Amino acid sequence: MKKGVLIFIPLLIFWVIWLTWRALAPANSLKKLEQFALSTSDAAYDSIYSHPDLIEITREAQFKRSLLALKKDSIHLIVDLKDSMVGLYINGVIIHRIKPDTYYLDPVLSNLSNRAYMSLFGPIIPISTDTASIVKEPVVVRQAPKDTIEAALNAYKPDTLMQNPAFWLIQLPGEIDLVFSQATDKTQLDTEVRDQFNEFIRSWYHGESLSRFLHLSKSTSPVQILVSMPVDDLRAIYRALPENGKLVLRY
Amino acid sequence: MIDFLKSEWNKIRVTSKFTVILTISVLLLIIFFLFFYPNIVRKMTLKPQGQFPGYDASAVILEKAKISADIQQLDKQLSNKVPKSFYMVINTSSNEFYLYKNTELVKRDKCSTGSYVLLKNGDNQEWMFKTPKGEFKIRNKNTSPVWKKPDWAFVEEGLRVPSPNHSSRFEYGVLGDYSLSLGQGYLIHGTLYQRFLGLPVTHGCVRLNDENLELIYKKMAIGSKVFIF
Repeated sequence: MKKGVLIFIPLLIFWVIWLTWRALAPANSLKKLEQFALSTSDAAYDSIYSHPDLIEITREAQFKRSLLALKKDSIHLIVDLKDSMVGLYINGVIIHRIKPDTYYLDPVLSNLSNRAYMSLFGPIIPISTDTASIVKEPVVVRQAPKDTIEAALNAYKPDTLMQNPAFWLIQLPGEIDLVFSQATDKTQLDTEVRDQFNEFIRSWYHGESLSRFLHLSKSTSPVQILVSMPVDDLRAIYRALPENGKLVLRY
Repeated sequence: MIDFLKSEWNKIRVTSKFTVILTISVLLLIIFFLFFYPNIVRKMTLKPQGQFPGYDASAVILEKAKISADIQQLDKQLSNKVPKSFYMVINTSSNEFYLYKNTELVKRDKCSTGSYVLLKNGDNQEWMFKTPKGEFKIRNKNTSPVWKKPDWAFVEEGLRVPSPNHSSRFEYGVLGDYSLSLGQGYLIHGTLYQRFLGLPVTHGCVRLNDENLELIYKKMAIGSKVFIF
């Protein structure tokens, strides 16, 4: 009995320490994000905007100001979780509007102060780091035929099958991940790509987490915004955006 | 380890019922604790940030009115940007077009856009058949348009490229009854291959069926906006 207790108790203590360390991660992430937001903020912020009655309207005003400030000759991405809308925007016109099937906002972001929110999400956000399973331009290379016979033999058949599964991760300032995914998986390939994509994100987080634990650093958790929508819409949005596109986000 | 557990289990078996119940209860309690503990800690530690300093109610009401007025102004500026008259939106991924009048959707149907074929003629020449994206305007409108075939149209068919104004360059009736120019050689026009509507098959132009082409021709004035994504 004593041997069992000797093994069991240290294991239990270790397990409780690990759980505590992990459980503190959201709070640590929130503090880290607050510090980051306030250190990068250069806009004047009146503390009265933190009044509960003003939070929502200050965010709405800032969102609209940012829309108006977007470059006129380019297509931009807008994510308005407040109105449950993801869309493409160009020069004042929302040219494509989708209601996401589902979305998830990390509790860390819900608890962010309005000052930090305005610093992080108030300005136009550059999409500088992203990764996607979608082909940006589904180019088909063809060699010119030598004569009319070869041209007739190689007549181009439109390839509608170039529609690979759609998953897209955008890294926002403050190590926030905005993850778009197709709402449903119809094929085996869809499921496989979804698993690979999730594994790609998970392995990065787990590696980071373990490294922090071993270095006795404070734990942090991934801060995510997850949006799922129909696959065709996601593909259209991804392909429409230019390289280094811009994003305006509100929640 | 297994032998040890076995012996422990034998010991438990012979002990009183009370000890067994107590052991199971303790284990269940530990499991229960471990299951809910992280959530409890998370809830206790994750608290809304940003302490609100005290302001009197009138200051808040004043500020609220000011921001609401700002929002109204911003809404006005945003709605002024949406064309009042007809405009078109073309989705090159789904090969669909939308005809709007201000915020009202007038028509939605299939179209055909660029195939994304990169045609290579040896090492010297190549053409990419894609529909450009962004904001465009109708620059010109024509009835019974004639297609002046560019070089790639001959290369693609395995034909010798003729001189710039050779008669073989001019084709009648292949673009439908109307064409609307978006500039840089890109047109909205009709097609003989209506079965391909809804598919990415063009050389960059936007193809519509006869009925939609007529509607677009009549509704879209020169200067009307076309948004392509």
